[in-house]
Amino acid sequence: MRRGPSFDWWLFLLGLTLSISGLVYIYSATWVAQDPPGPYYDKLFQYQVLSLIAALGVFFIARRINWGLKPDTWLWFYVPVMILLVLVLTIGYTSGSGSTRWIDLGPINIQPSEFAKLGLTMILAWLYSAEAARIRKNFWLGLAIMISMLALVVIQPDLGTSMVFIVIFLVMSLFAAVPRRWLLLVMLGFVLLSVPAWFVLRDYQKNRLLVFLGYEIQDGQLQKASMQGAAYQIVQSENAVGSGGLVGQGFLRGTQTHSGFIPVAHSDFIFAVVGEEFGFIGCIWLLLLYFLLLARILALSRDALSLYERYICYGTSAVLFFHVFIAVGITIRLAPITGLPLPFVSHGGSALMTMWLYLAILQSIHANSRRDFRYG
Amino acid sequence: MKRIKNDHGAWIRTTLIYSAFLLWAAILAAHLFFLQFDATISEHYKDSVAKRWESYEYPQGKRGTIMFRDGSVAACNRKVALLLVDPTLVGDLEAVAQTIAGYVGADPAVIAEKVRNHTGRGVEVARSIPLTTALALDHENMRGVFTRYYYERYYPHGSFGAATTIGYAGPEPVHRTGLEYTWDGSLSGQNGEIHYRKDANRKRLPGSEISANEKQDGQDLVTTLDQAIQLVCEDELRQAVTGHSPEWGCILVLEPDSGEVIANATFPSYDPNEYARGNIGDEFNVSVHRIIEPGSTVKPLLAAYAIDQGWLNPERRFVCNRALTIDGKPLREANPNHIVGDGAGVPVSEIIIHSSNIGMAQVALSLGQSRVLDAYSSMGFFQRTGIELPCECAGLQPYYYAQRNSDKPVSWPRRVVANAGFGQGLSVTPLQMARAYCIIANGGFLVQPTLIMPVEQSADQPVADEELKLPEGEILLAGLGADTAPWVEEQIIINSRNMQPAFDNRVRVLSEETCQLVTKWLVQVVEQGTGKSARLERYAAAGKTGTGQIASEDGGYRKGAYSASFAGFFPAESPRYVVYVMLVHPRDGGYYGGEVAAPVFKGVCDRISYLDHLLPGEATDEAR
Repeated sequence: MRRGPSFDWWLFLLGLTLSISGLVYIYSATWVAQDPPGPYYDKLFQYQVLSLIAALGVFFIARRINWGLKPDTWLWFYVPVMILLVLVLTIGYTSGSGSTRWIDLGPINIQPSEFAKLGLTMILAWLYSAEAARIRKNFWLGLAIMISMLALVVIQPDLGTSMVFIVIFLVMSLFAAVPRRWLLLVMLGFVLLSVPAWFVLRDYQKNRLLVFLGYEIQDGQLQKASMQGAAYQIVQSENAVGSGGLVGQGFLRGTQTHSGFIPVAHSDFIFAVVGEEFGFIGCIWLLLLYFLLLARILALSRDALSLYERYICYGTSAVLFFHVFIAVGITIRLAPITGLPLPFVSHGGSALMTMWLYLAILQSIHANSRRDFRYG
Repeated sequence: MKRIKNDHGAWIRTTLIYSAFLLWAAILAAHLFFLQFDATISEHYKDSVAKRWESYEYPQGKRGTIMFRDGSVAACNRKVALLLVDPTLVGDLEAVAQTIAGYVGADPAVIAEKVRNHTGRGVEVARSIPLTTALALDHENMRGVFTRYYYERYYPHGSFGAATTIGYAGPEPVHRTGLEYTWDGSLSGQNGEIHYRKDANRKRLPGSEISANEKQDGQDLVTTLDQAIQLVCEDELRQAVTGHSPEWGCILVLEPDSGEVIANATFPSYDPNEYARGNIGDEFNVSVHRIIEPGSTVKPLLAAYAIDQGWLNPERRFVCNRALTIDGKPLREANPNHIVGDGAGVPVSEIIIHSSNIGMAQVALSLGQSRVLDAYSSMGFFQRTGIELPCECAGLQPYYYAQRNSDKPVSWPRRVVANAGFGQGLSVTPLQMARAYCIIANGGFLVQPTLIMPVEQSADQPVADEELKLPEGEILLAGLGADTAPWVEEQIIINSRNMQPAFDNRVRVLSEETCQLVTKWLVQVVEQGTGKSARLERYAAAGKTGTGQIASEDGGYRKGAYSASFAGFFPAESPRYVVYVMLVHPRDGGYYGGEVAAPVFKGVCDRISYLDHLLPGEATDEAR
């Protein structure tokens, strides 16, 4: 009797713990006081529960696919992602804040830029695991692919996700057999490009970066950030985390969260909810989970059988790290405000699905390493 | 698939990434540690959070309404607004100031300057803005300009609504006069305090009250004042002021049986809605606050008491056509050309009817000091009436300044006794005079004047409706005990909030028969005596004129300054209203009481009779 592929319980349980913690935080962030007191299941919370069930379903199916098998061409990843990204711009709907990020599929919305992260990871892994002679050429190809995806995301506009693309590209290139001076050249190019890009940005986008430095633009004037202006979000979330203290104010007792001072508490600023309601201990707990997950992925990269799989691991850890870094950093003034979800935790079906797809691929890589060991 | 070896490069790379993760985790943990673990910083954030979302609200407890006796409003609250400007939100300050100034009628430069000099987030630029103006300002929808609504005291009748009696209640608790002062405790509401939580939009969260003291509205107050009669008095007084330009004056209308003050018009007066723009002193109620030597109006009172006590035979004749010399100084009639009677003398009734000072001087001298003092004290002079108004004067008894420095009763010079007989040398408030005439009008009872309707009596109001009879042979003053003797009392009691009435509501002072006798005389005064110009159109009125000299500050009398007064009641046979008119130092159009005050009395009474739908009856004709 043939046993199924080997299962990495660490990966699975860490992902599950993070996801369930996320449900708790989202429940709190969307909770509204009831009179008489009673439970309240917000639509957003219900949606997240269903998303998690769906994501787990996808995970258990997808983990049986041998993702470690390198396909013939990277187009297998590129074409669907590009179709989705173009679809967003053509049939996607525009939110109140003026960005077009979602495709409306009736009961659910999907956010293709989330899946694009996964796609880019796979493409770059494909390109950099080629034979040594092709890698230099593939670097430029990868840059072109990344920029083509970036361009479609930038015009949505979604600056946070486009930053993720750049980070994935830089981190994975760093580990590839690519001349370092090329990499520096590309980085320099990004820096130079950002100068004209600055003038294209809207004031609110500029302010998010400026506030991090203590300034803001108001009525066309650069001035010290005021409490009521662009710094509002940072100050409020910093207050929330700071007021949590050692053990937090308690589940559903966060005053900043429940009186609406924290913007998008269920999504980008969800770490402020963790900080306020569960305090230092809750924060460290969450960070520890991420650290263990990252460590596990890196351990997996060492056991990986192929360069392809190893690059997938590097890419995954880069994505995970950057997301956590930004999503935690913006709430405590360690990073400029960039709208990125906290992996597994923030509200959002596509993001959750993407993370679980990452895990499924990692499971597959794990199984490959074990299978090889088992059958010699 | 070809298995790759774990090459050295991969080890270095993964270790590098591990280290980066560890470093990052350490930075995050350290940051969180400082943010959350350090008690002082954490407390700072906790306070900051609490301040951000906890808020207080102070609902305004409404002040009670003051009503006239028919329930119409004398003092109420109206919704007004104040205007706040937030300097950090306002755009074009000059334009905004211009717009605001257009509505509230102020100088735009002043408003702009006020906003510019303000560092906080809200500066008040206007107050007491009427509701319609405030709503229009709201519709302007100017950025950074906010209206906040509140309730303000409003006096719908302005200076015609017994302003000095009703009083004034300003925004500060110290700004109180009149009934607004004495009844402040029950009128004023308690502001609530609600400590609650709000959300980021400053909306109150449901069920988030931390503590709540509900506001309490004040109690309403129903006064005895009659709005229509008050208006009549205000009007008549204004006409008199226009015609005679007195220094001050008042018209009092009392209900003789109960002592209820039906109307109290005073000059000077003021518009309580424009309190801040009025003159200092105009807000005092001269009816209780000023004292004046009453003059001849006291003659019937002294005579009645003396007859009632058996000290004076009403048939006794006094020779009045001779100049009377007392202490080397001649005593003259108020009008030296008016000689009463002949060598055979006249009875007391004639003295009263023709108001002979020489006659009354002889009456007083025949009674002597103590009986004169007893008589006046029994009439309620020299002690506060206990009306519900602040700053009431007790009045001055004759020879007061000599008496004040002595523990024992000081004996008066003969001239003081004689003067007291016709109302000079003693000072009373107009209200005391009106109250004394109530005694004659109601058949002999001294009443407690009041401004509050008895139906609205609350716990802190004196309740008394029993007739109290004095023990045989005892005069009223003696019954009060030595420590309330008038010369011991301070003259002006600034705060009479906790006043105790000196008398119970009804104390018999005169017998019914004496009252009827004196009423007959007083009717004669109006019919054929000095008060002819007080003859009413449809009724017999009873009354007495008074022309008093006005004491000057140096102890003598002011030259050429007189007070013209008229005290009376009508209908004579069953008195309904006691009316007292006092005009001090009328400078135009004569100065005799019969000339100046009696027509005012007539005007007031005639108009009241129409208002009151009194029908002329047979008894009225008979009394005539």
